Amino acid sequence: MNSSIVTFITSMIIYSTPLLFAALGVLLLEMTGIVHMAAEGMMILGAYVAVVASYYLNNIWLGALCAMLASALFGLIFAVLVIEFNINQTVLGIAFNLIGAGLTTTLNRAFKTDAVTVQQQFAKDALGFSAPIYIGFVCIILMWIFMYKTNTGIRFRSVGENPTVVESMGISVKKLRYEAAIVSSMFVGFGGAFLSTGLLSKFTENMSSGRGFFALAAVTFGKYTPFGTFAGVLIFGAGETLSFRLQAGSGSFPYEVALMIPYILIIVALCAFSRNVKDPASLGLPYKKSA
Amino acid sequence: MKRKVLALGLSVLMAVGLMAGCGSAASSSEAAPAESKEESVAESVAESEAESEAEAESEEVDYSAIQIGLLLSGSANDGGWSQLAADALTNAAAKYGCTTNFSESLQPTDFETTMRGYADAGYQIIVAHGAEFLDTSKTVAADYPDIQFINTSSMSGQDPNLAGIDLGSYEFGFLTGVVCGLTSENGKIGCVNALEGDTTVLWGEALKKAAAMVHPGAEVTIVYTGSYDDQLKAKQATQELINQGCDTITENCDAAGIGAIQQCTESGVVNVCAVSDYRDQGESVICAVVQNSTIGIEAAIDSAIRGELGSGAVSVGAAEGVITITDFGGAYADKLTDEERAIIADYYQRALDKEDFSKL
Repeated sequence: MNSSIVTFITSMIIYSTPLLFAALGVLLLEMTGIVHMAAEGMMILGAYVAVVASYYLNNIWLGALCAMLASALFGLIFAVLVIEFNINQTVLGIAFNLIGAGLTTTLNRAFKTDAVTVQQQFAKDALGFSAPIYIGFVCIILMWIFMYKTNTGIRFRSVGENPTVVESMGISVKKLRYEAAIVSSMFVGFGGAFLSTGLLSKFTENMSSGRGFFALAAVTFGKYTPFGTFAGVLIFGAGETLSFRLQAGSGSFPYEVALMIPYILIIVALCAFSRNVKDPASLGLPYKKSA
Repeated sequence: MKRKVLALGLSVLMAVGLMAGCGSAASSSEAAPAESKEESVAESVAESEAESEAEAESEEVDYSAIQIGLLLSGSANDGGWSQLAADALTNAAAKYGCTTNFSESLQPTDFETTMRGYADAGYQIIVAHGAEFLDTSKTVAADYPDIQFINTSSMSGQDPNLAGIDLGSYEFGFLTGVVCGLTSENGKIGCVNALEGDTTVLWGEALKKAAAMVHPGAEVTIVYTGSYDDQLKAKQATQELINQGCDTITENCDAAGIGAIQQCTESGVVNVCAVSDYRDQGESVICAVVQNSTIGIEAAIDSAIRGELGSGAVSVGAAEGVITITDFGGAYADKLTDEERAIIADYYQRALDKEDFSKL
């Protein structure tokens, strides 16, 4: 295969991986009927914790684990507020994004962690792919199996469609949603960890740069399916790679147009393939267990 | 009740988070406005601090009522461009005892509302740091004729109250181009920028011109990422430039430039750091051409406080200490011969002597 095409594809996959993990996390939670608007905040938190933990524990994998745990805690708090207090999920998500950005900025300045550089890196193969990228591929398949081939997955999806029916079968809607919130947040946290320690080696404020929101778009584009979500992630990644390749290749390509490409692509893709997308029926709706 | 307590708690959390987005300093000192006179910002820079302090002490005017606002599109903690401007504000607060405040990481959609917010709050001097603010500065300044606006990286001002401060963009680009041109072996130089503006365009033109002068046939390819924060985009853009054969990379995108340096280090390509001194971010950095905006902004604030700034554009550069070239180092320091280093030193001396490189 032409080396130019190979470098394009590998670059697209490598740089899309943080988004992939975030999108899988968003998919898992939205499947159960909770709008995951807080992904951006969880991602930046994961990015911060991963750098600090990797540095002090001197192990990049342990750093990623800490990032997942921190995001899980964040996700648990989010879930408590949504499930127990029925707070508007979209507004709460935005609040969590602000808290995530503000908290990491405050901690970064208080402890001067922007001076921390993680020396250890994930080992890479000949294509430049590291283990987390392959883990991402495996997660897509596992997510599909979970959603469509396991009882728990079917229950998760059922909760997103009609929680009352699920409850009437003696299954706890709350428990399922808590589980989804914690696991989904761990996915998002790992995406942040891969961003700061897998692709880069340090934390900078606001480094997630809206990737949590693109994860939402990818899930919608993918019609709430794992492979569809992956396609959405790849479209965005292809757009980003193309925008830089066009500028670097020609030197005269209008940069304003180049920088719009990822966004135009995702809008066109949403219009073309996701016009009739059916959200989970209870997505964003507060649920109260009937007496 | 439980929900109210919860809402209150969340509000406090959000407020704490948002507090990171602004800072302030205040103290008091006594000084006096000098007689109005035509004095350029460049001349202000040359004034000794001792002289200024003596003048301030001898004339008894309280500047503590003055409020200065600063708008930044990057993080005030970026270790470079934005932080240098925030430092200027801190210095002004210490020197004059005035109240200062800044807003950081602003998105273009927030430029105007933030700037008007400062104006409506009674701030007498508003500094917008970067060419990306210029359109907004012109619009807002027209509505507040009694407030002094300062826009850095700007080649123009606007009567009667907007002053543009050019931090030696052409000279800065030229010196960067000299280093890049001499460092590159194949003449393919890549540049990662965040956004296009008057001064970044000028910087790029000077970069291309100088590179071609010292390395005939050298070509500079500029890629824009659209972000001053996103390291990953800068890294990816750098990788694309390296894929196209560039063997020397420079960047002008604040903290995001760290991503470009990392990619250079991973790919074994030379990096000529521009604007900020990020030599500690990777062994690929051979040197940094630093643009120290603190000096230019401090001088502009000095003039504004004395009521002498007004409108128009002023330019400061190497001669005023705004532009410097660091020592050579890193893994590729030996790429530059003694003769080439002498050429760089010669151009820098010419900059100190205020030679106009645009006429070369």
